[in-house]
Amino acid sequence: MNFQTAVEVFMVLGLLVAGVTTLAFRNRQNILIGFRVGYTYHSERVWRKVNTFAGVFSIVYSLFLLLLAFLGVSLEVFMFIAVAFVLLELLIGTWMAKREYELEELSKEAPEKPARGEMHASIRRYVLLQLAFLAGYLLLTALLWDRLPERIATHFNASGRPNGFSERVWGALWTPLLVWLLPFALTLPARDPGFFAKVAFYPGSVRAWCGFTTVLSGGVMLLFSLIVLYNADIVSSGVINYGVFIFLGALLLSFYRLLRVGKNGGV
Amino acid sequence: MLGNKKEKALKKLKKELRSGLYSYLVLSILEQEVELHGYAIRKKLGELSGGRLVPSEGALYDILKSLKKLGLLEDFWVEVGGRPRKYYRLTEVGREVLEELRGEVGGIISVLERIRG
Repeated sequence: MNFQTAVEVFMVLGLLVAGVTTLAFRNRQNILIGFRVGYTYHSERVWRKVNTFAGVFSIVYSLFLLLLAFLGVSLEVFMFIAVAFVLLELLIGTWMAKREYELEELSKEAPEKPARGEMHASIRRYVLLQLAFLAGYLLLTALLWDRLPERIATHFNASGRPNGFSERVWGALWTPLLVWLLPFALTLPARDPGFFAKVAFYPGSVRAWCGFTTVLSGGVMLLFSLIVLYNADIVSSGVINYGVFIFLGALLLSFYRLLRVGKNGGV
Repeated sequence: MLGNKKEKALKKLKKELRSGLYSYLVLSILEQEVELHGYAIRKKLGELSGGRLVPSEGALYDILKSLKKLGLLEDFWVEVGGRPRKYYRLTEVGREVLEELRGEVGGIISVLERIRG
């Protein structure tokens, strides 16, 4: 088994374990394993239905990815398909959870609307910021496109030496776009207040959650920008290391805020 | 065989008759009650019709979604007992459309009365 196949198989095993454990915990709500959003936490029926789907779907696409790995599909194509499956699972799972929860709502007696307690969530500025990160990256890449080699360095070891390479279109365009989509897809559902569970261990503040996904988005786009600048011979690989430290620092801070923040948004 | 045909036709026509009527009734109830939960809308429909006109949860879900998409009502979440509950209210456009529909329904009723003599 060559190195590329080994990496792909390792990733498949991770996805397969996630799928099997999700299926195994489909009848038991918990804080660590499963499709954990407000709708699934507030209804055992919705939890069971969505996690059965997510578990089975994960197992099926993991097996498909395993087949691709043994067929020798390139790492870029493999990654593209894997991320697309994960995004599809997120989209279908969220849609299904919302629909099932709202259907259940119609059969559960509710009191007259209380004077207080209306839930609002505005994610506009976070969405705009993440779009700006993407636009900034695409602009930079477009300006430097002709200076990039046909195969660009995309991965670096701890001492800053490149140890992974990609075709220019994959490395500088498709991969960054797909990676950018992940935090974006995790931000969009937050516009619906029902997405967040009203339970003690769940992110108490929509702002803190969106702050976390926006830092994640900004961080990965910063790193991809530095990689483009390195490949265009504008910065050294050492700068990428500094970028990684800055990114990890900001991510840790926003994660800390996410864990500590109160329901009103204050830490 | 004939009974089956009659049942089938009745089921189809009832469904067609009710689908438009439900939207009108939901808008009318929301105009009267201002803000209501989906469960309360079903309950109210049941009370007003003596249990004859109660859409299924799935049908009401689709009606509410479609009315929202048309901009005739808006929904909002309220936290009740630690659980998010969804309530509905009419929009200004919803009020205007309901007013227009009222004339339409009035016309239909008068035609029916004339047919019956």
